[in-house]
Amino acid sequence: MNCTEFLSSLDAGVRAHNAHSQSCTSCTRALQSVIELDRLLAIPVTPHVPREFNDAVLQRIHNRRFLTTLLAEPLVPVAMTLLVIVLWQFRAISTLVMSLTHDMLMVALLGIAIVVLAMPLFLLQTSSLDR
Amino acid sequence: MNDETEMRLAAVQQEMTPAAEHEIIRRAAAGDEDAFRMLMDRYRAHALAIALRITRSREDAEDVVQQAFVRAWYALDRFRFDSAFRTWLHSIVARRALDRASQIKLLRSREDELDDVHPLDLEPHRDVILIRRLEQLLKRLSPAQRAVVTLHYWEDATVSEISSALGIPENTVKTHLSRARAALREAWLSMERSQ
Repeated sequence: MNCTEFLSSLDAGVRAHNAHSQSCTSCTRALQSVIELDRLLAIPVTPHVPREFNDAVLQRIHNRRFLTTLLAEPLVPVAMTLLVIVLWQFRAISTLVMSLTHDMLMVALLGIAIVVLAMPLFLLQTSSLDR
Repeated sequence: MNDETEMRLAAVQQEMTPAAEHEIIRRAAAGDEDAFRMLMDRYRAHALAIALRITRSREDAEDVVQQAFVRAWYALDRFRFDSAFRTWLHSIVARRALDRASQIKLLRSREDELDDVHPLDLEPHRDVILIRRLEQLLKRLSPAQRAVVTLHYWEDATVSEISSALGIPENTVKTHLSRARAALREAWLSMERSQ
């Protein structure tokens, strides 16, 4: 065995002298170093943990639970889909509306838009009251 | 810190039997937040130490450990008692810390944030100095190498367990461990020669 092979065995986790290392100063020093490194690497350290750590974790859990509950409400995706359709096809919808009775349908469209926009807020409030 | 918190901390820092811990885990899995606080009190410091050693950033490490506890809360009902809770939790922490460290390009200035870690050892003065040196050398390793070294030395994890915890092949774990040891050995000897 030569120095390279001995150092490779150290890197593989072997921690013992052999015939080569006993006669090689450099390998003996390397073995002593890895034994010291092993000892230091195994010492657990304890960092400072912020006082509010637990509360921050629980706050994240509460936030996620609330969001999950909200998204589980069947009306929320329906309202969101309607809102997306209205925004996406606003020109087509408004042209359709214009072609029909102008004033009456504009009022109706405005009403629908208000209901759709208010739906998440309403659900948010009722959900908060439930809890 | 109020009296209630101090009493709880004192209680959880005492040795806890596996049966007592299982009971706390069951309570937490059933939604008992006080029980979950006890688990956090017991494991958060070491979880943070693992994340710090891998990410080298306090801000990211705290975020990673908080996320890991949130994940643990939602996964507790699927926790099987065939492994230790500590091992299970620390696997989540290590994997998330490695993901974070791999995603972000840490700035040099953010890498010197381990000054407030203290070894839990009976030779504080000498070991604090040596561990400070070691932490400097650990910066030279890649995040994956630090993750492997941390789990191997702190958690006494086998190659197979590290592979499973980090989601990387066993041969890659062996390579990381071997290269990390070689890098640390060379850096340590070089540091000794320069002193």
